[in-house]
Amino acid sequence: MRRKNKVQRTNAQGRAKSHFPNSCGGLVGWRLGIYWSFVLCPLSFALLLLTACAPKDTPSSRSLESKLFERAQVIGERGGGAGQFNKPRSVGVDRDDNIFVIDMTGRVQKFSPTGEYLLGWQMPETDKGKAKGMSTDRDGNLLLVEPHYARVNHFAPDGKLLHQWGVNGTNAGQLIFPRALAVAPDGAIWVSEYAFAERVQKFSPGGTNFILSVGSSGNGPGEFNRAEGIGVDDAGNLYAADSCNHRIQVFSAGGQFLREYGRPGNQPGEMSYPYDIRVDAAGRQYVCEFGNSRIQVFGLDDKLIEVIGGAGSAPGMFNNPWSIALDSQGNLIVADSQNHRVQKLWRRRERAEFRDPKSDGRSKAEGRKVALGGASRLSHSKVETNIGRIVV
Amino acid sequence: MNWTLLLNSLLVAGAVASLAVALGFAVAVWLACLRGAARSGLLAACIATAALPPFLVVNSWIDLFGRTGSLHLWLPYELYSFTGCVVLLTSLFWPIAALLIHAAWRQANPELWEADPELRGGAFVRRLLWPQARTAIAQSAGLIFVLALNQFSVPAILQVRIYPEELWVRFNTTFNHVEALALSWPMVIFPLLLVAVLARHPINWPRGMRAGKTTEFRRQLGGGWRLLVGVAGSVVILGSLILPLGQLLLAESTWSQLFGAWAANRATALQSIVVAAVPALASVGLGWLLAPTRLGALLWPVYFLPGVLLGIALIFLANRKGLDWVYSSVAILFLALTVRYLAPAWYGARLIRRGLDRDLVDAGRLSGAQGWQRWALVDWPQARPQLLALGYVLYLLCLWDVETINLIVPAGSETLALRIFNLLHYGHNGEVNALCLLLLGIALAPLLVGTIVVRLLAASKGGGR
Repeated sequence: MRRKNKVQRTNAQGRAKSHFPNSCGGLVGWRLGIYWSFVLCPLSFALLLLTACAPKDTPSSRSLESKLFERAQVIGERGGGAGQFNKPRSVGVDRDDNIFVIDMTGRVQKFSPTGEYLLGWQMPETDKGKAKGMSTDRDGNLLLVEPHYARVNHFAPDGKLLHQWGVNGTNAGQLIFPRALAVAPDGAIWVSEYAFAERVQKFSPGGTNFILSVGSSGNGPGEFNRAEGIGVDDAGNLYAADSCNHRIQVFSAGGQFLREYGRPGNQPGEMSYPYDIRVDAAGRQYVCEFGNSRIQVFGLDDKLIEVIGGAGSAPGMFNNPWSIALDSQGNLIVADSQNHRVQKLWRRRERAEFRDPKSDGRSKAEGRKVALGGASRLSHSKVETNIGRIVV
Repeated sequence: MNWTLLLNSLLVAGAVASLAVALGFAVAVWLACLRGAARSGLLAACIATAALPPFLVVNSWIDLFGRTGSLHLWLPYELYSFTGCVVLLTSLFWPIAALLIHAAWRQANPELWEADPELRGGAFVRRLLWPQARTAIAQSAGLIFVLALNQFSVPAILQVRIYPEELWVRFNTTFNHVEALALSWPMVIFPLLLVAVLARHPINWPRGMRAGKTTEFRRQLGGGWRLLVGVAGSVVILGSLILPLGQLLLAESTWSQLFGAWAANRATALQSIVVAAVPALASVGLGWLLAPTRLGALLWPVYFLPGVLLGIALIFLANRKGLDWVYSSVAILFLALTVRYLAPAWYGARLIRRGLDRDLVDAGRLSGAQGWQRWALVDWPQARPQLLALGYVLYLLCLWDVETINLIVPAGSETLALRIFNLLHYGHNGEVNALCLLLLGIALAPLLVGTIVVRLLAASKGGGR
């Protein structure tokens, strides 16, 4: 009966009371209007397509409001050609600060420090899956890990394959879905694994000998829930991005658990799927967050220094970043995965101080790490400045 | 053109359609044997199975039967294989066959069932049940074939190479829209054929069905057949509903990681609700407006096409100057999902419109109710429950969607389903379980909110008296 009562609400002329003025219901006809919109919308859409036929130009660099970085430079764009990317997954830097990028198609591309494309090569085997983690060793060679082939590749900077190692398996010293790697100051190689073995293993330089294994599955101290990227500081301590526990864990060079920080969330200091971490000579930790699409910088004391970026496609913003790398100047290179590009965050130059790379025989990228502000642990007798290289 | 992968796709789809129809037939027979609460329970199980997101089922199966799963040795085949993919897809699609066949039998003329009371067992199935369900079987086989042919996420997670994946990879490698769209013709032909066939033989949905004579049906079917369909149905329900949900709810890691998963994905979860709710609402609205016309039928191929293809087409159309505000914002997701699910919305709205009381509609028209007034005073009061149900179904479809939005999701607009898909690509993990539970919570939230609102309204009306 309620329905009938509703229907019978009419005005004096016997027409139903309208909630809208007549111009809507009577003049044009409400349904006719809708039908017209169906005709007009596609027409307008077609007109738009005809009048505009090129993607919007995006600026290639932008200044940043950051304590540490002055500007963000975009390197590459979406595509399959030279200098283009399809979901770049990992980045690395050689001793000359050249940038290496591996993307989802299994291509490795090399760029100059200022972002010019230099060369590229395809990984020899990709049927089972593509390469993911990347690092450089003391000789300046590129180390690339292939999870589905359970092996680590050593490439010369010109792309020549020098050496492969890794035995598939879950036993100590074997590799099962290795995800990322980091080279310690003494040349030892740390390799993180996921899925079937939640651990990080340490091998001698060249992967010849297994040294130790850290962690097991879980969320307690020293346990991992899909460890992703790893980093090593000057003292050889291991920093692991424990992605699904949304935290960073720190271990000594000998594999002892030291500390952890971070908790799940999207507020400053909180984390959502940290995918990679790098540590500079001052002990600052750069955490790449896949979930929050940002970089967080933590100090030596694990306290938050600043947050860089957020979800977006403008320079300095990120879309599910996968991996980061630090060059000898302290510039941060980010694999901005879902934006299909790499970004280079240029360090503020006026406060940069550098260590002589020739002093200890280590690679430039490792040896010339930046020491900024009062937190420097470097000897001033061994510093040099190289401001000229920072200019875009 | 990669003929091997196309053949793979056709084989997967063919095997899934055959298996799903066979199992659906068994469950439909079982349904016809049951009555009262048992029948309602089994019907609810069928609907719940059909409503489960594919990745939730895959996640559970990987945890239980994957390489390190606790029941790995119980599975006579490798989960990451062609067989594994077929079985998993079958577990997703058999309810379509079961419900259509069940509906066909319930809509049959009661005199047919009484025509030959001496028919027993196999003869009863062969001469009566099968002929009565033949059209429904053909329709469900066609539907399942097309849906399985264009399914992308399950084969991708199980690393089974299929044609839609080839399209996705090819497009991702070359970024050549034209080539990708040209290569997609085999994926377009089958949906078009299906739409053409269904236009001539429309599906009879279970509306206004007659109640069957269960006792007589059971007697004619015989004990052996009852046992057979009971066992087959139980195994199917176990594998496709109880096992996935049980694994999800009973795994310790689901609950231990739930808080962390929520804290880390709060924004994504809220985003998922918006990305699902807005297109669902838009689809229902547009579907209702289009319902009096046949225009909506033209949209069926869009629904049956692989979502990846729609994504590629939208990149081609919207990644341009002037449309950047659409392409780089959440609007592209609204647009994609609305377009994808407009056909089912139109179809649902058409069915609902047909069910309106003509006397009331005529009375409204004679009283001068037009346009908005007719909607508010005549249509909405009558069709409210059905429209809300339709909206909820579309909300679920949008909530689970990965394939349509995978290529076009703008920065910061990732949905929970997409995040689960991305994480699951690298294997099962407790975090994925927790995220699946969150997603189920989001799926059930509208029902919960709706119930509370209805109760509050009822209470306030009761208090007012």
